[in-house]
Amino acid sequence: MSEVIVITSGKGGVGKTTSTANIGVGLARLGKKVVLVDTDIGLRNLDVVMGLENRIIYNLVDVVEGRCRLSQALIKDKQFHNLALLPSAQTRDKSAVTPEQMRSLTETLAAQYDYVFLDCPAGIEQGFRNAIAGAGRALVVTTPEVSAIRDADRIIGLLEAASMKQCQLIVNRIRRDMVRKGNMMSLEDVVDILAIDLLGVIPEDEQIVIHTNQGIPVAGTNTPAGHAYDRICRRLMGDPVPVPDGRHSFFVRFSGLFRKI
Amino acid sequence: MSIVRNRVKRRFYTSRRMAKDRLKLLLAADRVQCSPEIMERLKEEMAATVSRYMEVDREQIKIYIQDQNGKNGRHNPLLCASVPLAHSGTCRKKT
Repeated sequence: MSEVIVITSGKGGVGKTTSTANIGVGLARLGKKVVLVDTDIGLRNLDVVMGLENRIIYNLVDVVEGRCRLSQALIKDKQFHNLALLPSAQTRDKSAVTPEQMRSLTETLAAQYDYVFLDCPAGIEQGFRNAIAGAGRALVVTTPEVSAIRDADRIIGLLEAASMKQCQLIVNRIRRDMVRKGNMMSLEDVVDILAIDLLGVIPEDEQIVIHTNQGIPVAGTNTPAGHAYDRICRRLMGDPVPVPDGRHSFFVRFSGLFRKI
Repeated sequence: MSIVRNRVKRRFYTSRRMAKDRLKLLLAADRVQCSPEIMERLKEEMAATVSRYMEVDREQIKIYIQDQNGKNGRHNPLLCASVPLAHSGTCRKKT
């Protein structure tokens, strides 16, 4: 039984592509067959976040227009052979593909993989329409900022209007120290405002920048964000992993004290 | 005194709470998708209706859409209006 999942946000720069790459790697580590599709035609980025930018020969538009077979355009990951990437075209625009074409493409991919992830472009125009066309489940990424939350709310409305079966929330870049001081909205605040099911929370982590610089996803590494993505992956598969409540446990605080010394 | 009051206000009304309050108002209005022109027309008509019965301060009338937590965890938009009566405001007798 395979699932087609779109990762979307409305606003740009909140971590859609980073989340797609890390959830893909996280599920591949758990032994699932995963394919990641970059639907951001004209602004492709998933390849560079995954560190696969030098291997692209064909892309999504080539497949749709019949210039190559689907298997020729799929790029195998360096580390995991059960993880593949379908890159988008850099020299075309969103009108190169229609929602119907995307739907038939995702159907073909779903027959071969356990999970098909669609990395959605920012905005609510045709790129968004294309990305959600074939998906049965949506993950909405947001950060605890007013602009990102407003856009996420609009996206949730559009997904509901398009009768998306399941919508879940990922809250990215939470800074617990700022929340404690009352300078940032907490996870509970965001969930309360958007009123949708929460899938996971990712803390602000400089390792994201360091790993992305090298083209290595952070999932599976011993970092706060890496652990957060691992938990999200297990929850996606149906494991009842609890979402951390935002407070550090006694032992975590204690180990933090030792690290300072 | 005002320095103390500002300090207290800053202490309790943090930017986190301010962001949450602002978003709640904004999203309630966004969800209803009511354009500012329609809101303005509604305000005018409401003022006209109310002033047939009572003397109101037309300049100070405010209408807005607010968020109200519903029973099933969903948000229910609520239309609120604050209509201040004029100082000498008395109920108009039937003429």
